Formats: sequence, structure tokens, C-alpha cells
Amino acid sequence: MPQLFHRSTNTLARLSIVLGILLAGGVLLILLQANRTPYVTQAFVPREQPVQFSHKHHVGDDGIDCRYCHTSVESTATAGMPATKTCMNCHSQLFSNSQYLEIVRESWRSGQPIKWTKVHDLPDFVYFNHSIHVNKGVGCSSCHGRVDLMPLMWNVNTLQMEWCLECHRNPEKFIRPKSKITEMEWPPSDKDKDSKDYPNGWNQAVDGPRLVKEYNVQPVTVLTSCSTCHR
Amino acid sequence: MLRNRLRTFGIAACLMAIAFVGTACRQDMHDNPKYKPYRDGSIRELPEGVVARGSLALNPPAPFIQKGQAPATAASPAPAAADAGAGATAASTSVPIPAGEDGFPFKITKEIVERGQNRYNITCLPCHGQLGDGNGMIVMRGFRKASSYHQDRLVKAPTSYFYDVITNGFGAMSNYADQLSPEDRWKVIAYIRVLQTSQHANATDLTEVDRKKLDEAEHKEKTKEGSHSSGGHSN
Ligand code: HEC
Ligand code: HEC
Ligand code: HEC
Ligand code: HEC
Ligand code: HEC
Ligand code: HEC
Repeated sequence: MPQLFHRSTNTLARLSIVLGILLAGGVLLILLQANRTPYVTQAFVPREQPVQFSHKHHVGDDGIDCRYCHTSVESTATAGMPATKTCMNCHSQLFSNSQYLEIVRESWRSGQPIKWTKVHDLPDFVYFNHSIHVNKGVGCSSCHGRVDLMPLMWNVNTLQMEWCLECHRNPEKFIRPKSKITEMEWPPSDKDKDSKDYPNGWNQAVDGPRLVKEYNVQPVTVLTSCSTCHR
Repeated sequence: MLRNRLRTFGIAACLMAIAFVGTACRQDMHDNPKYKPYRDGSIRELPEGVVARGSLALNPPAPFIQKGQAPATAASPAPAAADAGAGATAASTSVPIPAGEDGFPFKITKEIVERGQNRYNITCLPCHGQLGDGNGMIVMRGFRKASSYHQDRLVKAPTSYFYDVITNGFGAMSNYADQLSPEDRWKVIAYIRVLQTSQHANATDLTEVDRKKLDEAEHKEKTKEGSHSSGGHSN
């Protein structure tokens, strides 16, 4: 009986097994990597909002502190979204005829809160708390980036577990004085010295570990334990 | 041929499995059927008659005021509120003057003034400005000019008048009851008093307490100049 297959098929068969494995591995890698891209995490994608609210105007140009609007950021898990009344503190007079603000006025009249499009949204099986971070010297811009330059809000980080852990493993690389948490430009430029918190100018390599001690930041074993974030 | 087909099938199955594991079927655990604040991007509306936890304490000024204290004129260090218009407004406040030192419900310490300054810079500075002269950034942008704290009328007004303005608003200024806890309101007032003293006054007129405050205020002005440039007053 003549051979059905040529001898070279043996090699081909082995080769295809190897290729198959490589291909599967490659696809897995691509998928994992794809999971980190802005396409999946929506990082750097500005979201449309019902009102064209601009942090660039309010924070960057007008110098309003984050906590004027996000009032509960130092005391509770959530940062808090401003009530319509907070907008009306100023917009009862400023731009009171602007069409951009019609939805705000409508909400003020009707008492129905404005429904903002959520930008940051952790899965519900993750526990996150703003107050612990803010009160231990992790500033807004370490996680939310230069909000004062954003005409519409976007997120600058993936919010994935590896991102949280990167900081939880090395908090001393990110920590700053508590008085500076809403400062957008961080680390500060050389000329901005603060005699009390860092007399010789800010140096993360020296001042970081010092603050970690001073603020009693919990050890890395606690910060990276699964039950810290999944509780 | 069969083997080839098997192989293609195998690879396809592998790919599908990987794609499945990698991307599909995640949302159930991501969005549990439970209440979370700001779940749909806004403050949840409360059903009628329901009071949000924590908000009850925001409204009545009671916890920090000694009961049975006579309003306005009684224990204030500056009860006069002499000039006509001010007398009327200041006296008509519904908030009694606390019995503590200088018309505050607690003893004024450095920490309290510092907290007051911190809250002032967040909540009041946009309109009233770094020095309390009423020329904040928002006023520069066309808001009605905010009152200067350094006018005689307000220097003489009792602390409870300020508490009343913060809690209930005044003219074009809306109330800040939601944005400042009662405790923080008193602390902001303590800082406003420091601002007032630092702007006027003749150091020899001052009591011991005031002199201490003045020293602190001056120290703050100095440190402020170096560090902050974003305040309303600087541009
Ligand atoms: C004048 C009020 C105001 C101030 C001041 C303000 N914000 Fe906001 N912020 C809002 C409003 C309104 C939204 C919702 C609309 C949006 O997402 O753009 C928002 C949204 C956000 C979000 C996204 C929330 C989400 O859906 O995930 C972040 C993050 C944020 N703000 C951070 C900051 C930081 C940091 C500062 C200070 C540098 C700041 N904000 C100052 C009003 C304000
Ligand atoms: C402390 C005062 C203040 C508060 C509070 C405030 N704004 Fe503004 N807003 C301003 C000022 C000042 C401008 C003008 C910005 C500029 O040009 O620098 C502005 C501009 C705007 C504009 C653009 C208007 C136009 O016609 O161009 C929108 C929209 C707006 N604000 C929305 C909001 C919303 C929504 C809120 C509540 C979350 C809010 N603002 C709270 C002061 C305020
Ligand atoms: C350690 C990182 C981190 C820091 C620091 C941080 N945030 Fe956030 N922020 C987050 C994450 C993560 C979310 C999404 C939370 C969720 O989906 O439950 C978020 C959500 C928000 C939201 C949306 C409303 C909410 O609470 O879910 C606002 C507004 C906000 N942050 C403002 C701020 C401000 C203002 C500061 C600084 C005072 C700040 N954040 C500091 C990580 C951070
Ligand atoms: C830039 C640094 C940084 C990032 C990013 C960060 N954290 Fe943290 N986190 C800290 C620091 C610092 C602490 C304070 C530890 C302590 O309690 O002393 C902390 C504490 C916590 C705690 C409280 C721990 C406890 O038991 O008291 C939780 C929960 C937490 N982080 C969750 C998260 C989650 C979830 C993320 C990602 C979405 C995240 N963090 C991202 C720095 C960070
Ligand atoms: C610093 C906080 C933090 C710690 C500590 C942490 N996680 Fe997570 N974990 C997260 C966040 C945030 C996510 C959500 C990631 C996302 O949205 O893709 C997550 C997601 C997950 C997921 C689901 C992944 C997915 O794609 O749905 C698993 C499984 C998980 N974590 C397991 C663990 C285990 C096991 C540990 C302990 C070794 C741990 N986590 C420790 C923050 C944390
Ligand atoms: C949005 C701008 C704005 C903010 C923020 C603001 N104010 Fe005012 N305030 C005003 C204006 C405008 C007036 C003058 C009102 C009038 O004459 O109709 C005023 C007046 C006052 C007065 C004097 C009332 C009188 O008898 O003349 C006091 C006291 C006062 N504000 C305290 C505060 C305190 C304390 C804060 C911070 C918690 C604050 N304000 C925040 C705009 C503001």
C-alpha cells in the first residue's frame, strides 16, 4: 500500500503543534495587552456630559478648590458630586442666560438632579475609599491627573488592579504633604517652596519615605492583601 | 485531511475559549444589584420625609450653642453693632450668641484657626478673596461684589451674625449650610476674626487673646506670599 502522506507531513504536523501553541500564547498576550488599552479602559477618552462642565475653566482659570464641589472627599468613601444648588451659588448671577446652563436651571426649578455620565467606575467587587487616600497624603492628581487642564473629564489611568498595586507596593513614590492634596501641579516646581512642609524644596526620594513614616502608612503586606480591596 | 480539519477546529475552539475568558460575561459582578452612591451619576433623590444620614446635624445650629443664652446683645464682646442698618440686621439674627470665649462655642486655638483658614480658602475665598476684602476671582468674573469683612459694621457684628449668614445666606450670597458643617462654620468665623484683626486695629487696643491671633495671622500672611499664587487676590 502506497503511503498516503509524504514524509514531510511529519515535520509539518510537529511544526503546526508548535505554531498552534505559539499562536494561542500570542493571542492571549494580545488580549491581555488589549485589556490595558484605552479602547477597553476608556482612559483618555473625554466623555460627553449633559452640561458642558469644564474643570479647566472652574479649576484652572478660576482657581476653585476641588473641595468646594466635591465636599465629602476628605470624610467619606465617595468624593461626592455637587448638588445643583452648588452650581447656582455662582450661576444664579454668572451666565444666568447662557444656553449651556439651561439644564442646570431646569434641574434647579424641578428639583431633579442632573445625571452626569460617570467617568471613573470601579467594579462593585472592589472597595475603594477616598478619605483614607486623601488623609494619608495621596493627592487627586496622582490618580486623576491634571484635572485643571480638562475641558471635559476623562480618566488618565486604567483603574485596573495592577495600577492600584503599583502604588500600594511603593506608596513613598507618590505620597505628598496633606496640605497639598488638591494641588494640581505636583511635584512642585523649584520656586514653589514651602517652609513648613519641606524646607529644602521637595525631593520625593527623601521626603516620600519621611512622610510614609510620619503619616503611619500601613505596611505593604496590608496594602497588597486581597482583603484590603476585595472585602 | 481529517487531521487537518481537526486541527483547524481545535485552534478555532482554543481561540474562542480565549476570547471568551478574556472579554465576555463580566458585567454581572461589576454591577451588583445593590445601592451605591452616584451609581447613575447623580445624587439620588430622597423620597419625601426621608432625611439623609448625617444631614440632620447640618441644619439646626443647636449642638454648638449653649441653650438659654439670650440672643444678640447679651454676652457678645462687641455687642454694640452701633450703626443703624447693621444694628437691625445683626440684632435680627435668629442665632443666639454662644457663651464661650469671645462669642465662640469653643476655645480658639491655633489648630482651630488653621482649620478655619483651610475651609475659608476652599469655600469663601473664590468670592471674598484672600484678604476678605470681597474681591475674589468670581467677583472679578462679574459676580456681585462680596461684602468686605473690614467694614465697621461687620467688625462689630457678633459672631452669631456670621453664623447666620453662612447658614441662611444673605442677599446675593446663597447659604453654605450644605458645604460647611456647623463646627467648621464656627472655625471659619474664627479665621474671619483673625483676618479682621490683622487688617485694622491698633495692637495696643488688643486683648491678650487677640494679640496672639494677630501674631498668627501675620505669620500666615508671610508664609502665604511665598507659596500660593492661585488665590483670588493675586491676579
Ligand atoms: C465647580 C465645581 C467643581 C469643582 C471646583 C471641581 N469639580 Fe470635579 N466635577 C464637577 C462636576 C459637575 C462633575 C461631573 C461632570 C464631569 O464629569 O465632568 C465633576 C466630575 C469630576 C470627576 C469625574 C467623576 C466621575 O464621573 O468619575 C473627577 C475625577 C473630578 N471631578 C475631580 C475633580 C478634581 C480633582 C477637582 C479639583 C482639582 C475638581 N474635580 C473640582 C464639579 C467640580
Ligand atoms: C464659584 C463659582 C462657580 C461655581 C460654583 C460654578 N461655576 Fe460654572 N462658571 C463660573 C465662572 C466664573 C465661569 C466662567 C469661566 C471662565 O470663563 O473662566 C463659569 C462657566 C461655566 C459654564 C460655561 C458657560 C458659558 O456660557 O460659557 C458652564 C456650562 C458652567 N460654568 C457650569 C457649571 C456647573 C454645571 C456648575 C455646578 C457643578 C458650576 N458651573 C459651578 C463659576 C462657577
Ligand atoms: C488613590 C487614587 C485616588 C485619589 C487620590 C483620588 N481619587 Fe477620586 N476616584 C478614584 C477612583 C478609583 C474612583 C472611582 C470610584 C468608584 O467607581 O467607585 C474615583 C472617583 C472620583 C469621583 C466620582 C465620584 C465618586 O466618588 O465615585 C470624583 C468626583 C473624584 N474621584 C474626585 C476626587 C478628588 C476631588 C480627589 C482629591 C481630593 C480624588 N478624587 C482623589 C481614585 C482616586
Ligand atoms: C497613588 C497611590 C495609590 C493608588 C493609585 C491607590 N492607592 Fe489605595 N492607598 C494608598 C495609600 C498611601 C493608602 C493608605 C494606607 C494606610 O491606611 O495607611 C491606601 C489605602 C487604601 C485602602 C485602605 C486600606 C485600609 O485597610 O485601611 C484601600 C481599600 C485602598 N487603598 C484601595 C485602593 C484601590 C481599590 C485602588 C485602585 C483603584 C487604590 N487604592 C489605588 C495609595 C494608593
Ligand atoms: C489595591 C487594591 C487591590 C488589591 C490589594 C487586590 N485587588 Fe484584585 N482587583 C482590584 C481592582 C481595582 C480590580 C478591578 C480591575 C478591573 O476593573 O479590571 C480587581 C479585580 C480582581 C479580579 C477580577 C479580574 C477581572 O478581570 O474581572 C480578581 C479575580 C482579583 N482582583 C483577585 C485579587 C486577588 C486574588 C488579590 C490578592 C492577591 C487581589 N485581587 C488584591 C484591586 C485590588
Ligand atoms: C459665590 C460668591 C460667594 C461666596 C462663595 C461666599 N460669599 Fe459671602 N457674600 C457674597 C456676596 C455677593 C455678598 C454680598 C451680598 C449682598 O450684598 O447682596 C456676601 C456677603 C457676605 C457677608 C456679609 C453680609 C452683610 O451683612 O453684608 C458675610 C458675613 C459673608 N458673605 C460671609 C461668607 C462666608 C463666611 C463665606 C464662606 C463660607 C462666604 N461668604 C462665601 C458672595 C459670596
